[in-house]
Amino acid sequence: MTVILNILQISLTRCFWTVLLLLAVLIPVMVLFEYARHYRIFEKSAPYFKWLTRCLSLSPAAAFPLVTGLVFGVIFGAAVLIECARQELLTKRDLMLLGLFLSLNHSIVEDNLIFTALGANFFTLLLSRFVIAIIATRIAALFLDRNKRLAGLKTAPSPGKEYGK
Amino acid sequence: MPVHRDLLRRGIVKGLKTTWMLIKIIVPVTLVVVTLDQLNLLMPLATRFAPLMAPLHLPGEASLALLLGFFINIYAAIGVITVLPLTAREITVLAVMILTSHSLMMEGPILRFTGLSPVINTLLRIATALLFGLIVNLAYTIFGG
Repeated sequence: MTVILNILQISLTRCFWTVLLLLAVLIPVMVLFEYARHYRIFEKSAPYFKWLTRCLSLSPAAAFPLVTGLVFGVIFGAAVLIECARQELLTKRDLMLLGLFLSLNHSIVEDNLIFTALGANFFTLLLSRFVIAIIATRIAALFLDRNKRLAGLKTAPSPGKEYGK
Repeated sequence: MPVHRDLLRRGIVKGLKTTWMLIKIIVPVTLVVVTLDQLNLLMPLATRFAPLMAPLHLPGEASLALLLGFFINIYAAIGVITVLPLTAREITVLAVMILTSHSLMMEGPILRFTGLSPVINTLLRIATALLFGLIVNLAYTIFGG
């Protein structure tokens, strides 16, 4: 019985602080997002992030959720991604690839510093996480693009060729 | 300034909506994760996986740190790492693995809406962690350090 109460107490406390943190971060982030949309900051700043999104084969619109996730972690990156998905700023392909990239590499300052404090090498961690995530994302992109091409062939055969040669 | 008031209002509403969406995932998962942690349910699994730590140049006890990192969160893993006598090399290998693959039960469902199934995401992340743990370990063996 005490175990169950203990579990409930720990869970509730943890949830309470998580929700507080979410509100404290997400409300300013979403207000920022609205302002950026209104003043077309994404379109204007896209050229500066082109190298970053291009090396993941994503559209420049992916920069904002990408940077948010890299700095603040998966949950906040996901929150911005949800908003991008709602407003259809990103294609399904980009959404999935961003999800994959961020699940492997996020919160690069805080998490990496925690392990550095324990004795790990900061630059090894940073570099290997980027390499891992970029490789995985590019491989997934390759598969998605190939499947899309195949799917495209199946759903829209060129006229006269539906039944083979 | 009606524009600012409108932008502010919309931003706040969206922040609240998104928070609510995330709460629906976070609360049940937290309950499961805390239960796993408090009842020490991962311990028997860890002893079974201990022999697999040898190719990673890690002591058998490190398997508990990995499992706690995978299924609970990095802080649970850190709790184990601090009590194990590990070299900088071993901690770096362990850290690469845990950082690529952690809080799987939380982060998988949160990213479901991107079209990435939580199961596939989890398997992919564990496989990636093992693969790159081996690679980083190999790099240390080859280049020294």
